Amino acid sequence: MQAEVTFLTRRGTAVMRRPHTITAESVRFGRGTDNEVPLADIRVELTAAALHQRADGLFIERLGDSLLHVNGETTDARLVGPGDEIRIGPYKIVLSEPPQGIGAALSVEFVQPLGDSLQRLMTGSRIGLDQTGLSKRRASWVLFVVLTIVGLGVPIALYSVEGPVKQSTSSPAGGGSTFLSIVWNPGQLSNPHRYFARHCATCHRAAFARVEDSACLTCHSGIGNHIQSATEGDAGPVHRHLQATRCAECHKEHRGLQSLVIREGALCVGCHRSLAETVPKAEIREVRGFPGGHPQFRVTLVSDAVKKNVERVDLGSDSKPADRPNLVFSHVAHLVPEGFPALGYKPMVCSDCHVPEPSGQGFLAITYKGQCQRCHTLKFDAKLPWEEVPHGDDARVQTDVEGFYASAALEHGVPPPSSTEIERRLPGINPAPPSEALGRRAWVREQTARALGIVFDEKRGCFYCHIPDRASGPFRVAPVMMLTRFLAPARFDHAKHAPIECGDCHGARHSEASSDILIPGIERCVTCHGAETASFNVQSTCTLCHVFHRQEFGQMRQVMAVEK
Amino acid sequence: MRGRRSRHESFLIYARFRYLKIACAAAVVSIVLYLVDSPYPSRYGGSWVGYTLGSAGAFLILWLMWFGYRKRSYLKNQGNLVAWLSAHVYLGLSLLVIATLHTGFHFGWNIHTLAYGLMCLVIASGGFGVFSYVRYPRLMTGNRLGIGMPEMLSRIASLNDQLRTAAMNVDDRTARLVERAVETTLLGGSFWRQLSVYYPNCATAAALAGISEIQANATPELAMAMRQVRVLLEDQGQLLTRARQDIQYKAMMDIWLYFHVPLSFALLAALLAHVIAVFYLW
Amino acid sequence: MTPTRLYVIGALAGYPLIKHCLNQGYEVVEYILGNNIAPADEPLIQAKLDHADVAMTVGELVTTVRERLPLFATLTTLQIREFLIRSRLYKKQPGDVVITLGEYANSVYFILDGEVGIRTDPKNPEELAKLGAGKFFGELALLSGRRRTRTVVATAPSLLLEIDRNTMIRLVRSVPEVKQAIDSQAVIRQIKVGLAPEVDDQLLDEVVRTAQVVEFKPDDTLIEQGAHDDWVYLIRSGSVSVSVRLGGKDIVNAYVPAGNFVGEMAMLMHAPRSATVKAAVATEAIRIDSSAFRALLDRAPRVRQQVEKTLNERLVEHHRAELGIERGGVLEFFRRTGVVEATDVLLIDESLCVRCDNCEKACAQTHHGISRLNREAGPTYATLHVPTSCRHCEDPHCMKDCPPDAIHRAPNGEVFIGDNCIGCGNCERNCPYGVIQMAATPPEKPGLLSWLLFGMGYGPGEDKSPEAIARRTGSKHAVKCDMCKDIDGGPACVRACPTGAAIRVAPEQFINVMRQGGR
Repeated sequence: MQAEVTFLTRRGTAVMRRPHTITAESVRFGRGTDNEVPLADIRVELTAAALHQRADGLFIERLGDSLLHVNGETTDARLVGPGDEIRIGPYKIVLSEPPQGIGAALSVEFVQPLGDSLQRLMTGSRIGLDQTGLSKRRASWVLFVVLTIVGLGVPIALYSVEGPVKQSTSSPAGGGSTFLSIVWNPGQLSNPHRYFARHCATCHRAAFARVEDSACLTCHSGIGNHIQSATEGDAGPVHRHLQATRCAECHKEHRGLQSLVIREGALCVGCHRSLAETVPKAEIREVRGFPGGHPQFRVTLVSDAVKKNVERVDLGSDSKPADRPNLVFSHVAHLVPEGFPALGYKPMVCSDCHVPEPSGQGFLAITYKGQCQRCHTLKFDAKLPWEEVPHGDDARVQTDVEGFYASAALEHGVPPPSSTEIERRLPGINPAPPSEALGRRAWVREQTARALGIVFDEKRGCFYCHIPDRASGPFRVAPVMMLTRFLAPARFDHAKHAPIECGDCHGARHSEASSDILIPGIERCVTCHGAETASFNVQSTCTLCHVFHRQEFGQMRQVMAVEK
Repeated sequence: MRGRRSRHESFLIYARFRYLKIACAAAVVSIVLYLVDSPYPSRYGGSWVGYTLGSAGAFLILWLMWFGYRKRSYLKNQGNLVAWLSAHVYLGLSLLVIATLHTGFHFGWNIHTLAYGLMCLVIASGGFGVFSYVRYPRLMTGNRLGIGMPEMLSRIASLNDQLRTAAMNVDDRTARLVERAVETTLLGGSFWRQLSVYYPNCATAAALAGISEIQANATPELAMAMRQVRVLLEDQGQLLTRARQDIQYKAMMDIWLYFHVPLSFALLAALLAHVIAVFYLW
Repeated sequence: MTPTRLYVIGALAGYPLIKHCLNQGYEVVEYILGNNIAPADEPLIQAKLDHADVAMTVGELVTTVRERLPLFATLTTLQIREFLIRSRLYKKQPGDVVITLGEYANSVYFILDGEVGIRTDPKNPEELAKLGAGKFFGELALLSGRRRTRTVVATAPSLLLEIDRNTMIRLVRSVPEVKQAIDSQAVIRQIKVGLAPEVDDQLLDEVVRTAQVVEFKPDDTLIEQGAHDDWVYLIRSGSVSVSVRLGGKDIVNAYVPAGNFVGEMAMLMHAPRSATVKAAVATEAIRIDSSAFRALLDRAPRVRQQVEKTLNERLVEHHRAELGIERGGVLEFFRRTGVVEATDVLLIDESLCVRCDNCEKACAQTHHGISRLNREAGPTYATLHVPTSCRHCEDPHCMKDCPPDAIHRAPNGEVFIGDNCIGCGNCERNCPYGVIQMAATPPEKPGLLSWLLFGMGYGPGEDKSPEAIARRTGSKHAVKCDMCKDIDGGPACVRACPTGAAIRVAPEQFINVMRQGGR
């Protein structure tokens, strides 16, 4: 067949044509140079297609592996005619009306030039991290905004919404904000305060304000003072200092689970090392620490039982301290191994008399009724062993005894001096009144004197233990004052020391006089107790034995009107 | 010339380690302050030492972030940027000590520890930055062998053109392989690809592999044409490897900043929240 | 009917017809019409006289020049006028400083009237070598492209003519006698300055008489290692490299710029030449006879001290070379890439450079948005990289053919292109290092904060995208590095490099760079 092939090249609007006629069996298109129409581009197969002249017209079929595109549709082979457009690779082949005598006329145009390869390479490559779409700016803004909202905006909003605290001591108010309490929390709350941990405003009453005492006093209103409350005027620098210091300055929250009770002795020693200079009136000795730096204990002793005066005496002082309870007592006498009949002849032990109080800390006060009466009776008449005088009121003893005998005389008559027998009488029969009224009175007086003599006998009666008050009368007993606590500023918990034998600390077995001080000094304590950070002793801080807030000193703070 | 340096002095060595010395001094002072004061109940950010260290740390953070602006203000004469970078690196490291002491070692799940954590991340990313600045420049020069990236790209493009011409006379399969290699020359791409030098779909490598197979069963004329194509493909492969390696080195010197900068803004926000929170609920 | 006349207006062979910026057409027309007018350059020269407050006409000035200055004796009036257009006149009073030691020079001074004194000893300002009318000074620095070697003050009321470098070079080229006259004067002066500033002229006579000015092309050998000649060379312009042959290789171990001497070792030690000296760029050297030189040393102990000091330094260098300490590679690289003719070149240590391009950005930001520095381009040797940035050559190629004479050297040595650039592109074509580009002005950018915070604008640096280039306004003019001469703090590229990789060095400091060896 004969075909007219025109190569078209466009330059702007101008079109260059290079026609030439070929004669061949069929017109083959392909990259190879042996094709009738060579298409020099590697996007074209070596032999891509062939155009045949058949009886029914021009027929194009593909020779390579890729399908042909004719007029936009893919096909393996089909009839084509003038006007049809065939695409092979980057080439466009358009058939047109062939001139006379020629089988086919087609134009070939290279329509998909590649352009500058360097440019294509550059546009196709993303070189450099700034080309990847990652943006430091965007990431920075996002993080900044998110964190500002989450870390600042939301918490502030939540706090403002929370409003004034409707907290009461009994139960936590509902609501509160878990988010706020987590995000802004600088440290764990102490255990007792956790139940209102969601309500920051419980303590933090206002923005940018420190926690004020009013917040703490909402619940802890009655907390005791550390020194005797001043009733009027200025009570000195210590008082001023304590009033000016906020609760929160010493009791720092958000430090962890442990309670806010301060354990570190350093805080106490800070003032107590120099109180002897700053407030000499208080007579508080210098304390620099424990055990080194802690002075010898001062026991509270009765100095004058009559005037009810106590004094505090240093256990280590040269003048041997002596207790003056106005009672004669010897522990040795009571701790004899053979025991006493009233207690079954078993040797007495400490707990026979010293009864712990319910908490176990200290002991109940020694009373005659509770402890002494079991053995030390107050009989006054051998013939009347069940009759005892009342204990405690020496004046009444006299009148009671006198009255007893007087009533006996009135009722039963005065028995003859020699008679030791008891006269029986039938009930209802009134004996004849004594003939001697005078003799009756004398008898009463005689019996009273005899009885009182027994009662107040030194060996068997009151004065066995009590001190006579001769200034007031022959049968007057000096008032007794016995202390239950000898180390007043400290708390000693006997329950905690239960495994220790009483006698290990208290030298009762060797005490014969009631003036003996059986309270051990500091040297006994330090055999077990050591410093705050001791490794081989019991770690002891000031608050182990001492109390800061002491109820007996009154309220530390005057409670303000609770905000509604 | 007015007292200019005539030797290349790295930012780490600048002025005989002047800023390293200053940073060490700052760290030592902080440690001494920390040890000297033992407030009740424990050392923490709110004691006077804590406030001092915190203020110093906050000021340092702001000043360190100012570097991003200073680096780009070219007109004002504010000393050499080397000095600023030297100070930035060393004082940034001292910040780690100062801030850690400021915390008093109290950590928890809150905005305060978040600020501290972000600060540590920022410093760590900066540490990687210093490492990459020390290591990669020399590697980059060694890889380049005298020609820069624009030149490498031109050579690759010109090899592409040569390949198109050389592949005119090969069989269809080879032509397709070459076409693919030339059309889809992969350089760079996503940040992961740039960093990892992992180009599993490299058409040039695929073409080379394919060609060996075809060459084994080729006719002599075809084999000759393919040899030429192969040589060009090998050249191309080597150039691509060099270029990709260059891209990786550059990416390593840049990637850390994509963490360092955004994290430092996160830190700024967290720091702001931390400071305000501390005084809001004082 | 009036006959038509045809006037052919031409130029003397070789003489420039069109003078820049002068309306000679007016002159021609007026002359044809028969009006006797002054030449077009008359008012220009008159202005110079008025400006200097000299009461002379232009014709009188031309006469004075021809009569007083022997160098100009053979010139025509036209030539003299030509030079006068480009010159400046100064009237100086006694005590006025004319030129200052250390400043960069672009001109030669001729004394038309009066007297000047050259301060020979900076520590002794009163010690002056006097020059009277007819003499010239300042040619030393001009010829070697270096700074003024002396301060010169007027000692009497003087009238001085200052002619700039380009014009002088043209003068020297067009009138051979001028060259000779200047040469012989310069030799004397240069030997004095370079060797023996305190020595009397008489002592130097012997040396000067035997001195010869020799020209060398790049790579020509001045001294061959092992030879037995013993001349001393004083480098007048250009520079030389000193190399030692070890193990078959030439190892360069020193670089000697103009103003220094070489070859004194053999002369002093009576030994064969210990090294080879080659010209690094086109060099002019004064060859001095060694016996005369030795005689001078005997008579001037201070000179001997100076020479011996230099000798010791050179011996140390030589010893180092023998140990094979490789520094020559760097110098060889400098030579090959033309760095040796620089007066201030930007060097980047690639082992420190993190390719952040902050130097380029700084350059663009301080220069209206066009960067004059291309960091990536440029030759590299080991880790030493010379980016494409102006080297402020000793003998600037760009200055050679600037029609509006827009390129000048600033007092501190920076070669800069002034505002009167017409954008002809000659300098760009002439520069062998490709440091000059023609660029129009880019539009204003949003500020730094807007970019930092909101990403507005391109940010610091030059936007080289086609769209940005299309937005540049105005005509293109030549731009190149000006060493940030108007910016407080000096070169922005050096100031902006965060890792310390970029430094600018002058040839005096090459030795430091060489010592680091392009590590």
